[in-house]
Amino acid sequence: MEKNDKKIVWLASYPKSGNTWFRVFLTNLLRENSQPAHINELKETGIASARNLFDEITGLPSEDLTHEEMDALRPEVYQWIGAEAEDLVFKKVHDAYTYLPDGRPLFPPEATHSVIYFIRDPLDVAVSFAHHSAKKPEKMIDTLNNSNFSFCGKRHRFYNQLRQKLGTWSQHVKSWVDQGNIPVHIMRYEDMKKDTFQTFQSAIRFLGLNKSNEEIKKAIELSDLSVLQEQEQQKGFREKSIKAESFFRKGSIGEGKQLFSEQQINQIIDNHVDVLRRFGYLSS
Amino acid sequence: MSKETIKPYKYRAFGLNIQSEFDIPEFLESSFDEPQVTVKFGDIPSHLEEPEKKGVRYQLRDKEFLLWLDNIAGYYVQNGTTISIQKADDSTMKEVRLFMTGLIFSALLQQRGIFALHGSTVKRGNEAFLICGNSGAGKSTLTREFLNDNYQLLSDDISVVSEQDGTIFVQPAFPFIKLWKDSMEHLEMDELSGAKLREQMDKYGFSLKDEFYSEALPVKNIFILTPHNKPEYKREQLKGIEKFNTLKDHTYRFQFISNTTRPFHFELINKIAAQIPVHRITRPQAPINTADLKDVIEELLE
Repeated sequence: MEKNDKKIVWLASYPKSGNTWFRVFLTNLLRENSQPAHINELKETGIASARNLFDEITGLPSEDLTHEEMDALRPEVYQWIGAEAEDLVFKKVHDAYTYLPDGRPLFPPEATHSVIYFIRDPLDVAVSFAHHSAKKPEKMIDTLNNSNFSFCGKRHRFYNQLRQKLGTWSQHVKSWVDQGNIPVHIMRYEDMKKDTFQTFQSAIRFLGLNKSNEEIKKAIELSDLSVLQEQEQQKGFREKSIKAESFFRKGSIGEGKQLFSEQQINQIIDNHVDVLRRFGYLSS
Repeated sequence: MSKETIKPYKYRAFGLNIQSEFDIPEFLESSFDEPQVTVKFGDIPSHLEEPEKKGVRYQLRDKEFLLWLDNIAGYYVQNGTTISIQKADDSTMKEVRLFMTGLIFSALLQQRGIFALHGSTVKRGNEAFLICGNSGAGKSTLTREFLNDNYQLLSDDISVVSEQDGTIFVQPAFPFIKLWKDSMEHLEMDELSGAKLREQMDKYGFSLKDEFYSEALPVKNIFILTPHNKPEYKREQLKGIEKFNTLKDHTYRFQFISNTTRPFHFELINKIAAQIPVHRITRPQAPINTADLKDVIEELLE
């Protein structure tokens, strides 16, 4: 039988959309421990743009490479991971689904099993992202509307991650959901909150993981927000920005609608109306 | 003396006599009769037969190492004595050398059973201390802070350590330091005193021949610099298996060590762990405060 290299599952999202919560859940589900996995040990779902992963697999010192040179090698790095893997490999991603100048997708279909895409009301994303970045919430509206938005993209300093181009909030959503190369399963943050079991179970069934309902329920319990908050309070969370007070905050729904003015809300609606409608964030 | 009269170019770096077909201005010039290492242009193999290890852009087996950088150069290292380079048409010699002086030389050293730690070395009195850390830890920036206070440099980023008659020594590398623009701003350095390493990056190289110490020195201390996302500083002396593992993890390009030389590496790390105090200094991620870090290290050196 031909060897199947399609082993990578991308856990993709714009930031602050439920990705880390699901990663903790998945870690607990895969480990089958009675005690919760620690938030600082989520190695099974590490980020695809980690610099040490790139250096290890290429053998190259990325600190002396340009963003463009690293981008050009990323598809090969992921193909390498896919070819080496025995089972499914999970990689967190904040990049949009983009193509290199030579036409290759950054995330190669040959190495990809599928993508789980997390989506959340952008008004709530803006509030949560503001806390994460220690910025004013209204500043984050500009960020969500910025088609040039990227992480780790400057050229005058070192970052421990590779550059990630995100684009605007709706460009990000459409890039993954409409790419047409790899199977997509969409998870709305609001559904994850309202009906956690059903939403998480359907993701596990989509991935084809052989886990019972009891195992899924147990992993959900071990990944409760209160557990994550307590772990962060005790030992800190290494994925938190140094400027942020905490990573695991309230995770509430509808905070943005209450906080932002009508004008600010319209700045989001005007820029993202199609995607908002499509995913049930605008009633009319 | 014109460049023509010193061909072939002769240098000393990492404790080795190096002869090169082309100028390597980052290295310290030297004179000798017989080279231990030869650097030359030439065709290189497209791949190795039955490599022991490989990655997306490198392959290795005992005494053979191959690495290629798209649009820059391919490098082939043999027997710990020869580096052959196939340069790409559009690359600059500055780029070819940038990857050769650290990365490629580390593969050559490992073929000779010589190992380096990922860190910079600073002279203090008749001894030296190492500032180790992963990329981005602040090693070079902190090293520059020490040099500003009249300490001398033995190496930036790559520190060759060895044991001789029961003492751990560090070899001088070459008089050059690399700094990102944001570190230069922190240190209030003028970019005109250095040169851009690559056109598309704001990272600069500085030749430091006047601040360089070119003899091997005994190692007094090793410091491991680690950033974290909290506002406080932490210092801890490492012991036991944690000390061993930390030194192993800070080996320069551990992945390039072949099965043949691995036992020698293990033995060396054991000896370093047995003799040299190793402290981990955890610092706030940003902004780096090199004056504070220098104080912490000086206190531990007393």
